[in-house]
Parts: sequence; C-alpha cells; structure tokens
Amino acid sequence: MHPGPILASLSRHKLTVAMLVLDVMLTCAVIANVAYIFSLKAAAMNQRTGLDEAGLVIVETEKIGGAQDEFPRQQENITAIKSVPGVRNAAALAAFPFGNDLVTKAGSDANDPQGLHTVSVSAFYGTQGVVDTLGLKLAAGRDFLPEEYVRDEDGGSGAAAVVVTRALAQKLFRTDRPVGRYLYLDGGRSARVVGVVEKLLRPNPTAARAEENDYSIVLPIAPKTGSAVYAIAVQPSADTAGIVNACVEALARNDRERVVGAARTFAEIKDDFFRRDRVALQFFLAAASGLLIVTAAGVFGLASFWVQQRRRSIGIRRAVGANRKDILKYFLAENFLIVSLGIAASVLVAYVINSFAMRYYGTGRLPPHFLIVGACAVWIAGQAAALVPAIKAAAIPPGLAARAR
Amino acid sequence: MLAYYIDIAAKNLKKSRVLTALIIAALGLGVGCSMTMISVVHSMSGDPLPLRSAQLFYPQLDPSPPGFAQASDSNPAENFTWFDAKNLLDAHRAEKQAMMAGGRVSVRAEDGRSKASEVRGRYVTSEFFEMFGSPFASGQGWSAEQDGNRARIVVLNKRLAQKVFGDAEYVGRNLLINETTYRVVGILDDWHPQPLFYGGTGGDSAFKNADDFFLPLNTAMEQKLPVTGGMACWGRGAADRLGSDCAWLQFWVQLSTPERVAAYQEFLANYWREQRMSGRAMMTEDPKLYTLMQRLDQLRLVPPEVALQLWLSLAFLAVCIFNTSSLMFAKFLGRRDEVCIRRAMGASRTNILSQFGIESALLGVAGASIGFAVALMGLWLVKQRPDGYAAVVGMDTVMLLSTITLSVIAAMISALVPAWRICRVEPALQLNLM
Repeated sequence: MHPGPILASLSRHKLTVAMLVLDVMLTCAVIANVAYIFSLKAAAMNQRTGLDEAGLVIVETEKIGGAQDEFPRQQENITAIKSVPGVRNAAALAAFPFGNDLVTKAGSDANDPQGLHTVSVSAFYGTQGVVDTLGLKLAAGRDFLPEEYVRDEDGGSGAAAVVVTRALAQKLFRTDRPVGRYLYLDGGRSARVVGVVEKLLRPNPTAARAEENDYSIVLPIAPKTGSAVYAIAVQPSADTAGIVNACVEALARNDRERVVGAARTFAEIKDDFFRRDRVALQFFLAAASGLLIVTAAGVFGLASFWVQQRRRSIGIRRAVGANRKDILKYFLAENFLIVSLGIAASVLVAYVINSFAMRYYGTGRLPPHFLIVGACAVWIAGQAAALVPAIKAAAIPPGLAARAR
Repeated sequence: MLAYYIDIAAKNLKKSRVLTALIIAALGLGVGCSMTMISVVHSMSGDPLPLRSAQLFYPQLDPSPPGFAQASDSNPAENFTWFDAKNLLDAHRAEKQAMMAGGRVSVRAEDGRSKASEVRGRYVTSEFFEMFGSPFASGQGWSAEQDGNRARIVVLNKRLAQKVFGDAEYVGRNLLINETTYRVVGILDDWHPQPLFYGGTGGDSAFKNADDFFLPLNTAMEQKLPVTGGMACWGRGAADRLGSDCAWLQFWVQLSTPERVAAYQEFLANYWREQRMSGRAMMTEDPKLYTLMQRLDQLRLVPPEVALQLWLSLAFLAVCIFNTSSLMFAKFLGRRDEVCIRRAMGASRTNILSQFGIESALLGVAGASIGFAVALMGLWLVKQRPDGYAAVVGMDTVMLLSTITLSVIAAMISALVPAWRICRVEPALQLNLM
C-alpha cells in the first residue's frame, strides 16, 4: 500500500499523532530496558555457584564476651556438628557465596615478580574438609592434605597451598593445569597451587563484569573466630530442618559464649540475597505492562475517533470501488506507520534510560536486540488495538456517502 | 440545571460501553499506581507521637570547626557532643530533657536457661520515659540519682522480656548484658514509635528496629558497652566519646508553651555565645530548635528508591491521562450530531462545555473506585517488601479522599482538549449534513 494518502490524512491531525508517537516512544523504550534488566536478573538468579547447593546449610554465629585461644573451641564445635546424625561433613568458613566476602589481590609467578599485574579475587578460608563440605568439583590436582591446614593468626598467616578456580587459572597462568605453580597474595604471601576447581562463584557477583565473577581461591586456613560461619553438608533426602535444629542445639550446648545469628539452607540464602532485586523487578514489570496496556487503550481510542471522523470519506472510497479489505488494510497500515515512527524515536530514549540504569543499577550498555523486543511488543499491541476500529470502518456501507450528501 | 446535566451524563456513560469501560480502567490504573506510592510516602511521613509531638523539640548546635561540615558526608550539627549535651542536661532549663545514644548488646537470663541473643536498644538518661510518655506495663524507669550512681539497671520492652524470661514476673529479675548482671526495673508495653524519631539514624532503619532495652547512659559509658549510629570527630587526638570533639549523641527537650520555647531558644543562644567566648573553635552559626516533625524531615526517612518510584508512578499517571484523552476524543466526537442539534437550538458553548465537564467528572469518580482497588492491591504488594517501612504503609481516610480528588482532576484534564474540540462544532454546518 502506498503511504502517500495515509501521510496526507495524518498531517491533518498533527497534535494527536505527535502525542501518540511520543506515547509509543516511551513505552517501547521502557519495555526494552525492562526486558534487558529482567534478562540480567534472571541470569544472576540462575547462575551456577559451583557448590553442591542441595545439601548445604550455613550457620552464622557471633562471639560474645572475650576469651583467648578459640581455635580448639572451633574444632570442638565442628566435631559437635559432625556428630549430629545426617550430617555428612562440616567446616568453619569466613566467606561464602551470597554472604560475607573477603577480597584480596592475587598475581602469578609467571608474568611479574613485582606483582604489577594482580587481579582482585575472593578468598575462601576454610578448615579441614572445606572442599568436600562445599561440594566443589576438582578439575585437576588434589584436595588439601591434613598437614596443610593452618590458623588465621594476627600478623599474617602462611598457608602454603591454595586451590584456584579454572577461570582464575586461565587468567593468571593461561593454562587449565597450573598445579605446582605459585600464586602471590597480598602482604607478600605466596602459596603453591595444589588443585583446580571447576567453578566457585564470588560472594558478590556483579553483572557488569561477569567474567570476573569466578576469580576465587580456597585457602586451608581456619578463620578468626569472632564471627564464624559453619558450613554443613547434610546427607541427601534427609530431614534438613530437623538436622539444622540439631546442629544449632549442638553449637549452643558446646559454646555458651556464642550467639547463633542465622541458620539457613543455601536455597534460603540465595532467596534472601535476591529479595531486593525481586522487589525492584516486580515494580519494573508492572510499570512496563501497565504502560503497554494503557498505550493500547490510547491507540484504540484514537483509531475509533478517526474512523468516526472519516465515515463519509470511507463511504466514498467504498462507493468508488475500494473493497472491505482495502479499508481494513488502510487503518492497520496507518497504525503501523505511527507506531513505527514512535519506535524509531524510542532508540534515543531507550539509551537515555539505559544510561540511568547503568549508573544506578549497575547494568551494562543495552544490547540492540532488546530494542527489537520492545518494538515487537508495541507493534503487536498497536495492531491488536487498531483491529476492532478497523473492522468497524470496513463495515461502513458504500451507500453512506450518498446518503450523507 | 445541574441535576439535568448529571442525568444526561449518566445516560451517556451507558452508551458506547467499551469506550466508557476503557476510560475508567485507564484512569483507575494511573490513579491507583500513583496513589499507591503517594500513600507509601504519606504513611512514612506520619507523626509517631500525635499527642506529644507539638511539645517535643530537638536543639541543634554545630560544634565542629569551620570547614569540617562541608568536608564530611554527615552533618555534625545533627548530633551532640558529650560536653554540650551534658551541659544542657545539667542546666535543666526545659520541663524535661534527656540525652541518648543507640546500642547493640547480647543478653541472656542469669539463670542460664535461655540462649544469648543480640538485641538493639538505647542508653538514655532518667527523664526519657516521662518526656516521651513510654507506656510501662509494670515497674518504672529510674531517677536522676541512679543516673549519677551508674546503677546497673535496665528497662525492657515486653517482647524481649518474654523471649528471655518466658511468661513470668519480670521486674526484679537479673539479666546478663554482655556478661554483666543488670536488674530489671521496668517493662514497657511493647513500645514501638514509628518512625523511631528520637534516634539519630534516618532512612529505612528508622522503621525497622524497635528498641528492646533501655539502660542508663552513664552506666553504658562506664561498662564500655558498644554504641551504634554514626560519630563525627574533628579533634587531633584519639576519638574521645566523653569530650567535646565528637558528635554522636541525641538530645531532646519538652517545652509545653510558646513562652517556654522562646525562653529556651534564648537560653541556647546565650549558652552558645558563652562557649564561643570561651575559645572553642566553632562555626558562627546560631543554635536552632527544631520541632519533632522538622527533625523527621531532616532524617530523610523516605529512601531514594521510594522517591524514585513515586516520580515514576506520577509519570505513569501523566501517560494514562494522555491516553484517556484520546479515548475521550473518540467518545465525545461520537456525539457530534447531538451537540450540533443542541447548539442549533440555542445552547451556548459554555452549556456544552459544562455538560462534558460533568460527564468527565462522573468518569473520574468511577475511575476512583478502580483506582482505590488498584491502590489497595499495590499497597499489599509494598507490604510484602523486605524493607522496614513495609510495616507502616496503609490507606487512611485522607488518602481515600485524595484518590477521588486526584481521579476527578485527572479526568477533567484529559477531557480538556476533546471538550474544547467538540465545542467548536458549527451548528448549521453539521445540521446540514445529517
């Protein structure tokens, strides 16, 4: 269909057309951005952690009152937890995914002895059995030996062995098999790489620098005991809630000067971590669908208005030979043209909104294909809204023109 | 005449039902969403002590050296140094006055039956309870002498007392606070003013945590109990809580008549002048005396994300108004014939305008009912949020009336252009074509 007559008739409704174009522009830009943020958050919520999440329970505790030499007490606590039926393994940690973070810098022996090219990594301290308790999958090398475990003392702790993730091995050593090489850490410490795990997500993963989310190391160090975290691996298909309660009881019996802050399964931890994101997402989804619905209502209103206004001219066109299909096509094409104008204008607005999202929500640059998502949404909504008025227009009998004269 | 207009308007609403329904739905959606966020902000700006707030004042002195306030993120004038708060407390020029600071400690019953738990509370001076009218379920607060003696006594909120001791007599029992014994002297009847106006912390935390315990400030200092909340220090030496170089305390006064307020302001100005003359390097700004509600404004209780959501919901209302406008175009122009007959029979443009005005007002009222339902649903969703303010949000009469007003105004705005357009219909020309 030739756009000439459509443009000619639209030019007589400049104000209403302009407002409708603005409306479509805003809706399309918002939908594109919401779709992008949604995809980011969905990916973040579903990303793998590298842990055996199903049977993992994390108990966070806080020390009250001051006493010295707590490491024996820590060992007793772990033994008490392990004695609970249904517990497969347990270890004390300092950091855990979606929880506390312990960031340090790491460099490799290969590229620079001065330590100029370091990367920021998350360190996971753990007592004996930490790799097994977290359910990490070894890709190369071995787990720590019992004699490699040390304590986190004031003034530097010298763990001689370290387990790194595959991603970090690639980054620092440019190989999947760095076993035997040395890793330099903050404070002039160095440790020999004994094993490589497939994956271990950092405690605070960010969407903006996704490739760095896996830069983690495991160190065989018993963490300082002020606020200790106990990781507990329970046997599958066991009564998890019952076991958690029994573990908390065992801890409280064994260590009266310790407050149990929270005892959560890993699923609950994940849920809590993303709760605020889910609230924000809910708001954005509601806003996008609300805009789409209201814009569709507006399109319906204007299309009905124009059909009414042009009853006579439609009648004349029908009288001089246009069939119903032509009229229907005309109104749908008109709608398509207006919506397309709005979509073209929305590109700019979408990137303005995106720059705000980048600043306040830490997203990346909006990939262009989300604009297509927004465009399809408003195209479909627009055509659907214009369909009923267009069918009504097509039903106008040719005789109307003659009668009206 | 008005009744006749309303009658016609009601009849016309029943015509072209789809358009009428869409107009009402679009209006309702926009009004409902914006009323949700307006209600949230309204609830957060509520008065925590409606009966007393007019008598409660928060003085402000800026004790920091020139340039310090500009360089730091926090405003040191919002909090007191120990030195100034103590001077004002001892001067005793208001009817009631108290100094206070937040704290976080671990508690357990002395008999060792309960597990230790971490709780939040406040270190206060003796007149705190009477000044704020905290309701006692049993027992009472303490005296100024006990403040001076650093007595190891504590007042508990009922919730914590039940958790620690179970269901029994609480007053007179012993409680271990950070492993030191305190005697329980009073139990508050679950006192939880929201927002927690007297603390120094703004933002969402003012809605989240009730204070579970209260104990004498002097005792807390002697026992070195941990203090929560911000502290701004500008001295050269180590941060000394009990000196004049760190601002971290809050200080409230009760003044029941305007004369007493004026007198207290005078007293503050004099005190500050003396301090300046005594050589403390201070800003030249005069002391201020804020009312409770002014102090709440200062605490910025509405979190930025809620403010953003409010603006977005108002923008959404604007989009809804525009789309309603296009629906009204369709609805009004469908009645071109009717208008031109009325014009031909002598109706003025004003008559036609008022007819459409009343019709859109009726649409607005109908939209308000949808808007109210949407707002209730929206508030229910907000209540599911993990934030502290979720507990205080709700609908009240003011918000119900605002919903109706906002909806009618929105309907009138969206009817403006369509009504103006249809009023320009030429009577004779249209008649000719029929």
